[in-house]
Amino acid sequence: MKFKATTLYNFKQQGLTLIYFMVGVVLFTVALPLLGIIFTSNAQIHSATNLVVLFTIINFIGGYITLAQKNFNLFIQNGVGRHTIINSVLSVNVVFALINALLAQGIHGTFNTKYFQIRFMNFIDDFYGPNSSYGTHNIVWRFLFILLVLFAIANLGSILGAFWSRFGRIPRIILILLVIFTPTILMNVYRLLSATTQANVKIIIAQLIGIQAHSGIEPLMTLLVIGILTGLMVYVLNFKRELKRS
Amino acid sequence: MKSINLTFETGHIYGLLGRNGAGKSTLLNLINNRMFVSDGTIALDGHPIKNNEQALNQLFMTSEDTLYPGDMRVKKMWRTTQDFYGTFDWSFAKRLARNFNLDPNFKLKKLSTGNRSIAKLITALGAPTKFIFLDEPTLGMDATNRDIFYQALLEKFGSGDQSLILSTHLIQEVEKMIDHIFVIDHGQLIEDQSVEAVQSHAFAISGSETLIKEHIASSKIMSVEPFGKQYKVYVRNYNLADLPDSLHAESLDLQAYFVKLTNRGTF
Repeated sequence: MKFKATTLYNFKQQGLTLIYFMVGVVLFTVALPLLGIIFTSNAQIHSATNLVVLFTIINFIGGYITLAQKNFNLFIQNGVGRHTIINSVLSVNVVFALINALLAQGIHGTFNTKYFQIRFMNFIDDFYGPNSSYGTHNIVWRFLFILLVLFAIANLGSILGAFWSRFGRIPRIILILLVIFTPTILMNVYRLLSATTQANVKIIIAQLIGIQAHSGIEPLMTLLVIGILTGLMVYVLNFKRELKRS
Repeated sequence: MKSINLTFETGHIYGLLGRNGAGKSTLLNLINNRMFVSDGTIALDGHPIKNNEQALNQLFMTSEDTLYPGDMRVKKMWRTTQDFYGTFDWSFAKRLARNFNLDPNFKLKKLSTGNRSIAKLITALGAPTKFIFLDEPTLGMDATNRDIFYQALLEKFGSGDQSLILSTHLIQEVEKMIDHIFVIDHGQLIEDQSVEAVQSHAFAISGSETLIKEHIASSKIMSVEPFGKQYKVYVRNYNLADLPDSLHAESLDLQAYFVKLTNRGTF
């Protein structure tokens, strides 16, 4: 009963996050470009949304919400044990990774056809190339790759949710600013590098995290290990989590 | 908290008393799986409570801290309680809300402190648990609402299959309702008795210092007050039959007893 109620509550919260984001996606990447195409008769207009990145954000926020202090407090108020909370969060993270991976694949497959002028991009193609093991023709591998990325990301969100309440106001602001500006700064530094150095940096990062170019099963295994490790972290951070008195 | 050992049984209204910072809320948080003990066990019918949902399903606690999201409506709080506990006493909750003039469609964050306390109280009283723990339940409530609340408690806990553990500083207001008290002081349990036993053995005894010292064991004295040329001592666990005619005794109400017990003084 407690697991069912906890899972349903988490499911509704993640579902709402997904709906809000999808409304935004439809508005900014489909409706507005379509209007542009209709009014200008310019078939060259295309949307440049990176689907996997978008669903990564959705899953991260969803994962964060499920273990944020607000939800944790409600579950504890209603006599839910820590193990049930953790099991429920991990289950919902898996289910939403599955749903979002299907959506990412579905939207990509639907819109990137000859009937639509709206193009969705996918970082997997950018990184591995369309003819790799994770190319558009290899649906199952590509799907598994996205699924594992989204699961690990949702778990990372849950870890942040568990941590967030431990930070004071100033550390929170610093953390938010770091999250916002670090990628921008790093990307600008990266762009300043020569083409050769850029290629080398790419190889080093890929090898560091176990994702090698031209694919194979290794990236999937790496992602699976990351998913399991983050899942374990969710467990460790929460099984003795106490209520914070305000 | 230091080595506390106490038992709650069904069919009682317990008063958990203590001064500010004595450890009442910590104790309730420990019992309700909100915090964990570093040593010892908290059990329900012999089964440890820690993360045991069968046991946790028999406990419900509300405190000053609001653990519900601010944007949750009162009615949704009740629905949530039903989802997590299996059932909820809707008719009792609706009737109580009417008595309190509380609109269940309001969001928690839109309610005043007093009404927020009322919303949490109604939720607690509608929960189908054996033990209900209320930590400072009347925070921000006016005298009329507190009266409605006490009436509701008497109605709800008259049946005998549930127990209420009430932690409050308004001792005089609850004195007539509670039948057993636990007093916590500096993290230790210093009193565990029925109200009847406490009141029949707690007195303010006045007389000369010599007579008092002669007839009353110092271990029974809670507090000493100079009273002109005489002294007034506040005693506990004292048998009135032992009192000599030369000393005068007055009964203590629960609040006076608590004040003297937790604010000790000696000759």
